[in-house]
Formats: sequence, C-alpha cells, structure tokens
Amino acid sequence: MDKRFCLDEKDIYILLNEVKFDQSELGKAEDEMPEILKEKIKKNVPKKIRNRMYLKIAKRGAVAAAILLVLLMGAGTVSPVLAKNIPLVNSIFEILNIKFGHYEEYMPYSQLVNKSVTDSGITITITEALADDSKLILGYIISSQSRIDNLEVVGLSRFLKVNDSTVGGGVGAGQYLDDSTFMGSDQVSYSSPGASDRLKVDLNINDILGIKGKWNFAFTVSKDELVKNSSVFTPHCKVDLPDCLVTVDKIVFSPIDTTINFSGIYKDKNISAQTRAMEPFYTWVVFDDKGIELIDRGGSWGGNTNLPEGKDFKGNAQYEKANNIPQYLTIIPCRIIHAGGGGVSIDQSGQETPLTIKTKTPGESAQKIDGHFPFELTQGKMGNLIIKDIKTANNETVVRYTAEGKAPYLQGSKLHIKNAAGEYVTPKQYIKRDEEHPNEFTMVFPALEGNQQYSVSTSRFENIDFMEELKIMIELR
Amino acid sequence: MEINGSNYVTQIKKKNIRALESAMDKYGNLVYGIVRNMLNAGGSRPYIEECINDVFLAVWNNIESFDETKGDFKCWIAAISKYKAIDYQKKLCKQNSVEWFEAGELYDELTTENIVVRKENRKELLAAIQDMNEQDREIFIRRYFLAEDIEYIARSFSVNRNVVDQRLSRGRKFLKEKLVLKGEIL
Repeated sequence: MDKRFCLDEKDIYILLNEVKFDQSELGKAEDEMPEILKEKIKKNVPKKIRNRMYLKIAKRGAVAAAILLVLLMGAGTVSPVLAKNIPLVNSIFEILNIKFGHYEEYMPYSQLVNKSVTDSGITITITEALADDSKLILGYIISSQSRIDNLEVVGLSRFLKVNDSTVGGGVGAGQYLDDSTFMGSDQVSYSSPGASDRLKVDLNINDILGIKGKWNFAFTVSKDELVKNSSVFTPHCKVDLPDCLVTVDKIVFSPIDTTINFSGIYKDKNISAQTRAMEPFYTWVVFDDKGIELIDRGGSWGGNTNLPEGKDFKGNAQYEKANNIPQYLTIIPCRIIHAGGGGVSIDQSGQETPLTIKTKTPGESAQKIDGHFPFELTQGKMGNLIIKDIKTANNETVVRYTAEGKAPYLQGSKLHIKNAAGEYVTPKQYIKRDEEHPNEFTMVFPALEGNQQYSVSTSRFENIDFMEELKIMIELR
Repeated sequence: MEINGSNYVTQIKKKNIRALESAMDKYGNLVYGIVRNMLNAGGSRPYIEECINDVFLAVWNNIESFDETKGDFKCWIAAISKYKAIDYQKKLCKQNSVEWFEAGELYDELTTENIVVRKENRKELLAAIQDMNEQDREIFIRRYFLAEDIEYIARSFSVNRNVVDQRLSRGRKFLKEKLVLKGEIL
C-alpha cells in the first residue's frame, strides 16, 4: 500500500490529519484497557524513547569518538542505588564498574574534589578526579529538580582546560540514579603537561543541553601517583597505511589502563580535516605475547594542537590494564567504514554543523532463540560466534558464547539480542571475557520474556578491513 | 510545567515525556479499542501491546506532522492506531505466509491506474494528494492508507458504495494526471 506510494511514515502521518472520524464512531471504538497493560505501556514507551534518543545522539557523535557509542548503548538503565545512598568517595567509579566493568582500577588513584556549583536549578558536583601524563578522568553528578534527558551525551570536555590549554576529545559513560540525578565520568586527553606534578584544571560550563548557566570550577589534580606506577616504552615503530604513515611513539602500561600513543603524516595533504572525519577511520587490534587480544577501551585519532614537529595528526588507543608487561605486542591496523548515518561536528562553542558521512552498514547473521544449543553465527571473513547457551534466572538472561577467528574480543563485542519487532535489547552488563579462556564470553541482558520471540544476531564485519598484511610486532624492553 | 487538556500537544512537541504520558491516560482506551479490534484474531493477539507501544512512539516521533489547524488530536491518534494495526496485520500475514487479502485488492485498484511513483518523487505525490478536493482526499486516505472497506467508508459518509467507488476512481485519475503532468509517473 504505502510501499507502492513510496511515502515516508512522516508524510503518511501528515496525510492522516485529513481523516475526520465521527466522534460517536470514536466513542464506540473505545475499550477499557486492562490496568496491567496500561502500566506496562506507561513504563515501556518512555523507556524505549530514552533508549532511541541515546542511540540517535550517540550515532551523531560517532564521528567524534566511536567508542562513545559503545558506552552509551547501555545508558538508561536505572541503577538500583539511590543518590542519597551514594558514598561520595569513589562512588561514581564503583557504580559505573557494575555496568561497564573497568572502573575499579580508578578507585585507588582517584582524588577527592567534592566541589558543587548551583545555577539555573541545576547543581553540578565534581566528585573525584585522577590523572596521568596524558589524560584526566573526572567523576561528576548533575542533579536538578526535574529530569533532564540525554545527559549521557552532555560531555564536559569542551568546557575543560588543563594547564590553561583546551583538551582533546573525550569518552564518557554515565547513568541516571533517579529522575533528578545523573552520575557520569568523562575521560579527556591533554597535551599540556606543565612543569608541576599537579595539573591545573579549569572547568567553566555554560550550557547543559540547552540550559544556560554558569558552573565554574577550578582545582588541581596530582598525576604523580599514576605516573610513578606506570611503565613507559618509546618504540618509534612505523606503520605504512594506505593514506598515512603512522609512528607508534609511546606505549604506557599504567595501573588503570594501557595506552598506545601515535602520530603521523597524511600522504595527501590537500584533504580537509572535516572531509577526513567522514572518511573510513583506523583502529588498532592489539595482541600480547600470548596471542591474547587486549580489551579495547577506545581512543582518539586526529587533533592538531601541540603536534610533534613535522606531524599532521596524533592519537591514542586505550586498552584495559595489563596484569603483566608482555615481552612484545602485535598490532594489526583495522580500517573501518562508519556503519552509522549522518554526523555532526561540534565546535568549542557548541555550534553544530551537519556532516555527510561515508557509510557501509555491515550485514547481520541472526538466528531465532528456540532453546536448541549450541549454534553458530558467521561473522564473514572475521570468523564466527558459537552460542553455547542462553539461560534466564534471577531476573536476567545470560548468554554464554565463544568467538572463533581473527580478533575474538572484537568479534565477541558484536553480539546482540533483538525482539520480534527487530529492536535491540540493551544489555544489562556488557561483554565479559573469561579470564582463563580468552575466547569465551558472557553478556547479560534483562530477563527475556518467555512469551516473546527473540533472536541473537552479530555483525558480518563487511565494513571492516582487518589489515593483517600490515601488522607490526613491538618488542618491549 | 503542568500538563492539561490544552497544552499536551505543545508539550509533546517540546519533548516533555510527561505530556505523552498524559496523552496515554487520555487516549489509551481509544488506541486500545482500535488496535484490539483489528488484532483480535488468535495469532495477532500477542502483538496488541507492541502495537500500542508503536502508536505512542509514532506520536512522539512524528508530533511535528500533526496539524492542529486541520483536525483534532483524537482523530489523528485514532488514524495512527488504525494505520499501525494494519501494518501489524500485514507483517503477521507475511510472517505466516498468508496472503493479506485486502492488500491484494488495493494493489489491483492502484494497478489499474498504474500509479507507481519513484521514491525521490514522494514530495510531489504528497502534494498531489493534498491537492485533491477535501472529501475525495479523505476517502482516498481512508481506503489506501487505512485500508478501510468501501462499504464502511460509504456508511461513514452516508453515501452508497457506488459514490465511494466513483470518488476513488476520480482520485486515482486526478493523481495520475497530476503526476504525469509533472513527469513523475514511471
């Protein structure tokens, strides 16, 4: 019907204004909705709206930081912990750790800030911070009388200055504790180390998702504790990628994570930065000396402030902390074509410019959950996932699965569950790797309803070029 | 902001979720009645809840399409409920490999006039439908977007079914002429 007409839904809803039902006809159509159904709908619709908004906004932000999308996918689940019950010190990292799983490393190194500013009915509290030579991590709480939606994407980095210089891109995560309280953490990279062990931090916020105000903070954060417990290697290895030459400048094994810092030169210098942001981007898949993939925590590529001499760009890639320093690392570049739709560039003043992005949406392999296990889902040239079992108990559904192929963790992170309408079910707890068996994973979802049909799906990775031929080995001595 | 009978549409436009909740309270029974009536066959029943969710999500996502100068919100949400329920009927028939009879009938009607429009010309199509005379337009939308039965439309307009047939035929011809004139028909 409408397909033959090729109208968008939006157009059809415009046309539906023309229908003038007789009021008595509508009166007859009404039927008392059962109370239990009414409650469910009033609960589910707002929840779906919030989830969709996160995805929509996260997709727009994908240009700036792909990892942000991954972290935001899970946002929106209300923690059972109420704001009034939160102990202040380390609370944010503790709570985020439950959902995202890697914040516990921050706790021993976080420093209490505990500064609050109230304006326009919103109180922002910077609770804690930690820093090393190149990054600053802040924990914060935003509270207001009524709910402010979409705080997952508020991003404090554009308001930040470290040692009087603006900072590079950031990644963040957060969640609502209740309707009036949001708790988050932002990590930014900076390149203005200063002479002192203490970072001078200025955070002058003037806009919270359209609400204007003045929330100014000034404090210092010591980086000494993290720096003195870190091991730094400067390999200066080079990778010759199709459109740029990249040098691995520094690898830092710190108590909170592992960071690879790199810089490079573009082969074609005539392409604008904005155009480049829309082009396919690179990421590194890294393995330790036992062939175990390092768990990716995001990073950045680009930025032109404080560049090393003769370089066009710099960046960093972060991974979960290593328990031991390996003898060598193997790095495989990965060229990724954006899977999402459009993009938006946001300048320092918050001005948005729509951007057209080159995209390639990878196909999916999917199978309905019918109680028969194991089953296999192909991931194309990357390998496959084997779903070992899916069990529901204690109000949650746990999927246990194995990834076989070139980059098991990357592959394992692409497991999804969809409902009958094809909508993704947001995980309760993201991918967790079995420490003893690094190819085995679990992912936890809210309990799947027994009377509903669900399917498990995964990407076929057609948008990823896994460039094994360009892999490099870096010895760490 | 207090949500009341006069400001909930404005507040939904401002993306105030409380306003949508207020619309759920006010029109929940209407949406339920329409959806339940259309999805009451055995296999469709489990989708009633999902369909109602979709109706309210459609209201939220497309509130800008609601034109207060043209009609009232109650009619609009009722029309969306019908439209969504039909969509579910179609999907379920497809899923169960059952032919959706009315879809075939509608397809035939449209094929007689060969109204096939390229996607990029949808704006012209929308404008052409909006250019129809008021009653023809409503009959056309009820028939081709809400899949209402011709007899039922005739009863609603207090005319006999021949009149509806004629109006539909006139509407299709009007549309075809408009689009041919603009070179939009394939």
